[in-house]
Amino acid sequence: MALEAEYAAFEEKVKRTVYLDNLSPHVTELVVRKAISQFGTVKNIHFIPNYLESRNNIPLCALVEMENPRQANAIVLDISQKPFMIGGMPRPVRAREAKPEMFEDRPPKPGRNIEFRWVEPEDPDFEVVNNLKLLAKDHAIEVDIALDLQLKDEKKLAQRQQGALKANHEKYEIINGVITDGTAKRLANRYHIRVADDW
Amino acid sequence: MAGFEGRSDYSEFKWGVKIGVGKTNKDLQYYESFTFQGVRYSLYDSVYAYQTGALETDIGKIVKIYSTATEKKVRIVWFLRPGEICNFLGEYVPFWKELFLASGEGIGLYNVNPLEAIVGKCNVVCTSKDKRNPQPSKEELRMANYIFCRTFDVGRRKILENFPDNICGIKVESYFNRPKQKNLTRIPTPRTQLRDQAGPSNFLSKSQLDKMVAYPVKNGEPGSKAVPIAKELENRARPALRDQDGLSTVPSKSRLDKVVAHPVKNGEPSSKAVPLVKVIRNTVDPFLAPMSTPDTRPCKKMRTVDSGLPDIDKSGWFKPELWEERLRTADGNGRLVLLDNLDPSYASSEVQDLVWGAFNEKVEAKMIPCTPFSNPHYGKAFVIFKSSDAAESAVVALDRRCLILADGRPVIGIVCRGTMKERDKVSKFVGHLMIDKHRLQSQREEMRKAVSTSHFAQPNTVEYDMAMEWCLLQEKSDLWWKALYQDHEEKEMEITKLGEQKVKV
Repeated sequence: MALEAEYAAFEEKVKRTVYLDNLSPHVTELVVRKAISQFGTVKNIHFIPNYLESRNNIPLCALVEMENPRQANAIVLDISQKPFMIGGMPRPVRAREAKPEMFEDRPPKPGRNIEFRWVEPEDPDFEVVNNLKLLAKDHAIEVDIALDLQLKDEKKLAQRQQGALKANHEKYEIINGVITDGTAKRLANRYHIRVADDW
Repeated sequence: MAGFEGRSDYSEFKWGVKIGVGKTNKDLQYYESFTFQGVRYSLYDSVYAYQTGALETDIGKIVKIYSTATEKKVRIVWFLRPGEICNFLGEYVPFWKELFLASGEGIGLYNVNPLEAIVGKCNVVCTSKDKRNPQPSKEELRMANYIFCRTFDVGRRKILENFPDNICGIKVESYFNRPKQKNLTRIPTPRTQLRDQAGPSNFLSKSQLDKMVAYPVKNGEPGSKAVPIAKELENRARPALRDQDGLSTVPSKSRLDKVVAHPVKNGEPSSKAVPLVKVIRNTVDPFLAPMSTPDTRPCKKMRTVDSGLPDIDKSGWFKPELWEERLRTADGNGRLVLLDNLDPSYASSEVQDLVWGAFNEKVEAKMIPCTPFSNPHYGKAFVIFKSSDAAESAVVALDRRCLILADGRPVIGIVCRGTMKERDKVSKFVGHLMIDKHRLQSQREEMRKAVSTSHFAQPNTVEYDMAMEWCLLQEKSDLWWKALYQDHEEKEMEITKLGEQKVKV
């Protein structure tokens, strides 16, 4: 049947695909392509558009289709072990195996029928179902809050790192300056301290 | 400790045959064998060695036994497990119970350890077809704990099928199987002698070779294996880690909930580090198929949707830009409905069929792809109705009554008005740091050389440490999402159970 063949082809594609996230929104397809081509042949790249979340700073996600499942697995393996940067540092990208649910335009699984039922308010089950509905709405709010918290955490970490980086950089600049303009050497002579010859 | 009392008969230690003294250092006395805790170990025996805090024993071959004035030492050449060199396996699929003999020059070939590091004998059989190797019989193969037929060159980091002439200064024949002797009584029963963790056969399970799941192994290089210093048996309860190099700890990237806080020793940081073996797929698959909630209405029949929808024009659908445009216009017109609480494995066409069956409306629908922080049990979809009235009435109907899917979940619909916000140009991605001075320069160059902007972080850089912090945060966030969704699931189960009980009553 055509449906099954289509689904089988889709499943095969899923096995070959790598899911990347924590990508910077600046990153273009070309950058990703070049980055991942170091691991193997890239057949296709699809950025997952993010319609729902309007917050800034949600990292970008992409599905990268490789030539065969082995390459895809190798990528997931490698990136999980050593931090890999695309387009900036030091936040590393994350690679996972792709799942069918990540694809927007996936074909339906053959042989499955959608079943549904309307439950009227007079039905005895209505209460249960209604409660479930309310619960689901609550959960959606919780998810929102969690996401907010996560983003806040990420921002904090980034700020902390930026601060540390700046401080370190200044430190090194000072040291460098002092060496290049000879101050360090003169001081060393004055205090009779041996210094490296190449200063 | 529990097994302590039974060890008093193992306290004996005896040297075996002496075979010489050291050439330069006359204090060094070499031996051919020794008896320790009732077991006789000889040169070129394969043994298990245990390092405190490790989850598995290491396996190696004794190649030198000697004593100094104060200590007793053995030199062990290691067998590597496939999981330890998984990065260098490449295409090679290791056998069940296969090990790799270390060879070449470099860290991880051998270590000198105190005798007490040895915890038992191991039966490792060489199945190589090398002419110098006596071929094992079927019986021996069956009795073997492990086999090896290849070596791993630690210097070149490659798997070699041909055995070099000597390894660690010892002729390679010593590593092969012993020539056949009349009395083959040397095959030990390792179980009774292993004191520490469950024998490796529990660990070298199929999952390790098949899926590389949960192989939390010693991080850093395979060399520098520190070993418990057991000062006689009274202190056995307190084996202390001995830092061979005393180097700083490197934050490991292993599972957070299995982080055993034992300091990890790295070799010299300038040498090429063996990449950290990370547990892959450590999070329980968040995208497991949803558990079917118990059917609370066994006798009510469900309507099935026939998927023979009247023809719908499929041509322009999956072009992303067109779809996005349509989404936004629909959003503006009030025709866009967000359906929540769907089965995440639905396909877009199935959603359409569903709406057709339930509301008798022809619509366009698309499932929203799941993200690492979206609920793995619920799926969402965007549905564009033909008119805003249709959208409204559908949502009202969903509110007043309940539309249930096959496993009892109610569908929730929300009309989206203005929820699609413009994607702002993000000026800075959180987490990508810049040094002000270089900022201008790098922006120009980056655009030109795309490859240079992607790289692996090297362990001896500041960048690496920072990257590790990010990885930690990522892992943590994974865990808390998982916990959150698990919590949600439990609450749902509670409610459904309550409902069931009511029905029964």
